[in-house]
Amino acid sequence: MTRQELDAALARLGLEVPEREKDEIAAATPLLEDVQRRLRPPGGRDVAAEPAHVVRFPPSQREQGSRLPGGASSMRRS
Amino acid sequence: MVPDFLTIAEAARLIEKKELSPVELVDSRLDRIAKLDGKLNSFIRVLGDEARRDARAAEAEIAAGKYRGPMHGIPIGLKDIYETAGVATTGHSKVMQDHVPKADAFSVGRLRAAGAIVMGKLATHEFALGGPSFDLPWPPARNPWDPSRFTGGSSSGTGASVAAGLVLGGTGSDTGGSIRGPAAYCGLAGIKPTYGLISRMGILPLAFSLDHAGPMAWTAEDCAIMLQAMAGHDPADPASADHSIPDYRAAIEGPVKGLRVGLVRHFYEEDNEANAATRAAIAAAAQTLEGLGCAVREVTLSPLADWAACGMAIMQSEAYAIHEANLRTRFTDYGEIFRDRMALAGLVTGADYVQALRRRRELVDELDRAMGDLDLVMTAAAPTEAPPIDSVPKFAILERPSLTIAFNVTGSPAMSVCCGFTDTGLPLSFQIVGKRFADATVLRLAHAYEKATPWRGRRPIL
Repeated sequence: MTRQELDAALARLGLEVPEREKDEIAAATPLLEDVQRRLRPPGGRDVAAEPAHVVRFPPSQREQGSRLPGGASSMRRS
Repeated sequence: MVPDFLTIAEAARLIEKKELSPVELVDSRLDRIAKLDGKLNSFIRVLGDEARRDARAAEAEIAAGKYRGPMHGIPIGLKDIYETAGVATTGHSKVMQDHVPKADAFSVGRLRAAGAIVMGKLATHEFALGGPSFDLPWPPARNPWDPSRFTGGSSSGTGASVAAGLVLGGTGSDTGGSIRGPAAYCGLAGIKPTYGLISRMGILPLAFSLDHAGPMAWTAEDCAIMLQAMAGHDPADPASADHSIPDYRAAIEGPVKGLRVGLVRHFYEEDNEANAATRAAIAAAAQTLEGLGCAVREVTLSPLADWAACGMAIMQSEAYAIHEANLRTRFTDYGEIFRDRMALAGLVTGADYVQALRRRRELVDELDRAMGDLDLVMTAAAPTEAPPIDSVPKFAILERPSLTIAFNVTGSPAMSVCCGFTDTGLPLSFQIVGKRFADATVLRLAHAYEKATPWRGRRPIL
């Protein structure tokens, strides 16, 4: 990410970052880009690969495959 | 004369037999805080009057035959993200320095109900993330083994105060290692329990799906005693597990012979290379466990950087969402480390977050598979002993992959256990990790290890 791109991104976020600190954040963006790269497997991911869900539904609902409000199916497992 | 250092278990035995007065114990800790905390900065706020009042009440109850259990009359400290009724809870930040909650955090209420005496509010990295910082309303805590050294974070004040014997135990929180890191650098036992075991209600959040509350103390036994008091279902916390709570203190006395332990060596020998002292101490710890009858074998997981990337993307996204409004309007009211880490976090996209959650599911399944024929895994808790406090880079959490955040990603119980000292007298540590809700097994192995080694007999010279 170039410094110009960073300036634009911080402006979009509405953050008023002191200039000196912007330089340090810009220098750290390759670290973030490595994080972003590692989240995506080189061969891609199955389109149906679900995210992890934090809050588990009660067992009775999981077993019955109950439906969420609005008609969406609950996750098969959490 | 109350000894300078007591474990919770030792003090509880004396209190129950009426050989130690909670009032004397609390007074001795307040004297110690007054004498030593000027160079450790572990407390943000000492609650001396309240602690003496509660100690007198505990003493009267015990004298009347109403002993509540091993936390009764025990002086503890609370990381200053645990809300306390009528007492400011600041997150060690100017942003919330006037925040006075109306109620105690759920876990604080449980500790008080068990008879614990709250001695005060402890230093933390700002909002459990940004530190060590020198531009906040309070200075950073310093390591009792060497005050020029870092405590680790973010439960920095808890690490320092327990190691120095200012309190007998304390509360921490752990989103990426904030219990296990300071426990490692300060030579304590600290457990991040299974996600959902301790309510997060009333604890200032950092990242909802990674935040764990937990105890820090001198021994695994003390952690078991504190965990017993803190754990339990709380309907007000949407992630709280409605799970039966075993008798942890009884469970830790069980046998460890036959436990199957996986050693994740590549985490600290290749992925985040530990120094020679740490590697040697962990090798010796593995031998000790084998000597206790455990079957230790090496296991390989995905590279540590993959686990750290997943955890960091989730932490950054969730933390940014929590602080978004204040970052826009009060950016420079935050300390520089926190605000710049958050500015970088603002660059994480929605797609990144969802990819991290998808990766999380894969990694949870991976660890479950790897532990299919294991009871526990062990690895390093930190790559080195505590570094100098002024040497920690602003973006340290991204520069080297964390050895601890993997188990926040999976929600597994994970514990730091002291496994020796450097030639210069700084603590070294390793990490024991269990299956979800097998916290008692983690504590049992840690307890057996502590009993088999001399490390719990050594305290900092202050």
